[in-house]
Amino acid sequence: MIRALRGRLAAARASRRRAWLAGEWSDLDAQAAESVMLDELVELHARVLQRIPFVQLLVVAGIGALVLRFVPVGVFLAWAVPSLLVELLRGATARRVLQRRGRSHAARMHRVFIALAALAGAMVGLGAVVFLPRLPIERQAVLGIVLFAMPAAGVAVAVASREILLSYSVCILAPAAAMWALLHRTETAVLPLTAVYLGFLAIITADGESLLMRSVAIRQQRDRMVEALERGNAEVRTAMQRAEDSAQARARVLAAASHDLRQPLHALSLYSALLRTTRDPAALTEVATNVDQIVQSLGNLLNGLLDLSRLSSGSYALELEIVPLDLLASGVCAEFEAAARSKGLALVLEAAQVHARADPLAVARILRNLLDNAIKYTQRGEVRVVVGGEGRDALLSVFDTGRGISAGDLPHVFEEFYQADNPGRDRSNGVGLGLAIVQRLIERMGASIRLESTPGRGSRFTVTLPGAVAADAPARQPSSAQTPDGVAASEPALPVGLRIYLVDDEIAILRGLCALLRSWGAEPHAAIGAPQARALFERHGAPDLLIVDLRLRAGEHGAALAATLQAAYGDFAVLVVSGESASVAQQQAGGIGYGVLQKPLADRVLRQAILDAVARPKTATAARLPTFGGIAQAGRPS
Amino acid sequence: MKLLVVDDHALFRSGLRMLLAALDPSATVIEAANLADALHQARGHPDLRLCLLDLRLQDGCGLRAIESIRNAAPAAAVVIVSGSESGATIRDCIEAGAMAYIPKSATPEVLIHALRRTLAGESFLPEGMLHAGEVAKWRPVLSPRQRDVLRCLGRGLPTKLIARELGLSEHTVKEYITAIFAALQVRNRTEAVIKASRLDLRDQQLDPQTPLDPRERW
Repeated sequence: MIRALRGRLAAARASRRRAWLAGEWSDLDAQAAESVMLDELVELHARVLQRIPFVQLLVVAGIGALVLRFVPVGVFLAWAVPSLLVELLRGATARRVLQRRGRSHAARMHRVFIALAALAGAMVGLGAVVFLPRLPIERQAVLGIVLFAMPAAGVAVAVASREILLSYSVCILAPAAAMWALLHRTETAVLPLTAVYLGFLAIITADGESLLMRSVAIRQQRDRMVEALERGNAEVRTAMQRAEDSAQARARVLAAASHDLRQPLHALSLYSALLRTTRDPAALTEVATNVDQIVQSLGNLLNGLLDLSRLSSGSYALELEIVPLDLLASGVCAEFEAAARSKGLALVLEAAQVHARADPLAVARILRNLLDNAIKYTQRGEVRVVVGGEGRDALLSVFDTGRGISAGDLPHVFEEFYQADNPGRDRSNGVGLGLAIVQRLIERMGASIRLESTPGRGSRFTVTLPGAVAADAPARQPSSAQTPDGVAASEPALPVGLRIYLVDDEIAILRGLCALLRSWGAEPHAAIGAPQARALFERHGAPDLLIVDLRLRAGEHGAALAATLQAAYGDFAVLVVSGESASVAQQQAGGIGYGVLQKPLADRVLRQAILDAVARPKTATAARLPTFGGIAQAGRPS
Repeated sequence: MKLLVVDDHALFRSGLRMLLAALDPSATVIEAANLADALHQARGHPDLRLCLLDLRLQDGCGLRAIESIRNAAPAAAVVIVSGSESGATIRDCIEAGAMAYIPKSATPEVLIHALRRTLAGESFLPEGMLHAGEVAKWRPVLSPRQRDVLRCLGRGLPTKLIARELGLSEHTVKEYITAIFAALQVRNRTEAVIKASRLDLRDQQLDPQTPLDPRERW
């Protein structure tokens, strides 16, 4: 009953506090401030307490001067020494708390200080009871003033804690006022006036409390803002770096392009001049052939540049389909058969039946460019295309027995306009954009490419495409459900207005989850840490679902907390979130029977877990539930 | 007349070769794709009269290429055919001993005119080098012999070779050179070539049909 009463009082006070701040801060911020405030309070109180023993020495000396004439020395000392010792104890405790800052439990220390304050107050009150009867009325009055002044000083010592102040003050004034009333029975006003005085002190302390809380909240807000600012700065810096890099890359391409574009034009100028001056028909034929070649290479260059530009600007939209890679490869190889044959090379295709989710035009282009290069740089031997799968990836490799790429050229081959052995930049050898385009396409598709080469022996380009699909999956048109991000309409929705309580000790996580759940139509409430969670239950009762982090501040255990709350408020669904590895998480939550989610949470996983948890029959002793998020379901092999 | 064309762009080389042949059917054109090749050819043909050189070669470019060619074939005049049009570059080339500078970006007519002048042993410099309006009415007078010496100077020949070619003594050639510099109001060969080119350009019409018999001047 007492606990319920205490709980109710605490809740009432908390809600009053929050209302006080409500105009300026969100609920979450207020909660955060509260939890930090107790630490602050304990620390500030401890600091002040360190000086208390000296103050008490003065007080004892003063009281001694007042009463020694009327009280035997022995009695006085029997009071003075313990009184001083108690304050010394307070001072020592304070020093220890300060030394072990951060490691001690604030709420517990608070209670210790309340008890010590009560003890100290009681010592003074005892002194009042012992000395007052022996003193003449004038001395009684003086002692009375001292006794009433001490709680007032105690306001400063108690910092912002009403409990500390009241325990100290009541222990002094209750016996003192009672004694006084006993001695002067006609003075009936003493007790009620004392009570009024005590109430007044309590109000002043309450104001101090609010002030402290406000300062803590401000400080926290400022810290958060600084953090956000720094993060913003870092993002801006990365973005700037990226913009600079891209500008540099573009400048390089432009410089190379301008040279490569001008060269054919200069030659055309010559041929134009020739057409004016020459009469020789044989020369005219040669002119025509050469002009053709120039036009061709200019065209290739232009197309290559346009493609590169489109790929770089990201305006190339990938259309994902299930692509049968073996068929695609065979089609592209057919295009190059004649070219290979004319050079006396063998073109071999080894293809397993592999399907991948990719853009067929992009894959075909990549393969085409790689084949083109392979044939160009191979004088004898073979060019081999291999299509295979490896786990969740599809592999596309192009081998050749050509002249290979030297170690010096290797890092540069994918650069625009780079041609490993075309010093005259003879345009009949292509323009050097093929591999640059391959690289851009690969980046767009989220694939990767590896190059191995031995000069004189040959080269191998291996493209790894993620998203291999079982060969028997039917190739189908892309539907809206296949978009890589965003939630498709076909996914099940949460019941509207689902009440979900979130308990975690990191505000960022709580904010993010709240926003996400709200966007799904649920009604989330957040609590930082166990005490706030309990307060939440006090205020709003049980939710439909509780999502709690396994590890909370001050050693509280999320699953244990959930169990306690279920015991008190009846059954409701519970999901536990853990940052540990799968096995440890399982261990920690084991036996309690809650579903365990592993961080980081994927949206889809969370949604499914919520649906499952809410749909299940709510019983706290349910059989061991499966865990989500990539951990093997119970009973199934991993 | 033997000519050497050095350029790494095969199609451009062919075009140049054919154009030169069209402009002067008696010319023999040798091609080289890089500096090493060019030097080899230059040493192998001591009667080389003219070398058309691109400034951007794979294995050696710019002024150093000019130097190497001049060392390999001192009697040959070096004409730069290049994509760059920077005034500083052109000046540096002339100073390094080039006779003329033909920009690749020139229109076909200018190309033809420039090549004709080159074949005739005259200097040619792009329009931009010549500050129009400066040389209003003033025209220096040079005797025919002085013009010969000036032309040889333009080809970058050292005094000794000029003397040999014109059948004069070195001392006489030096006197001629001093007189030429005074007449043109210049201080060195580079300035002389530039100024002379300017004056000649003002003189001549841009007429592709102007008969400039190359054999006479060489």
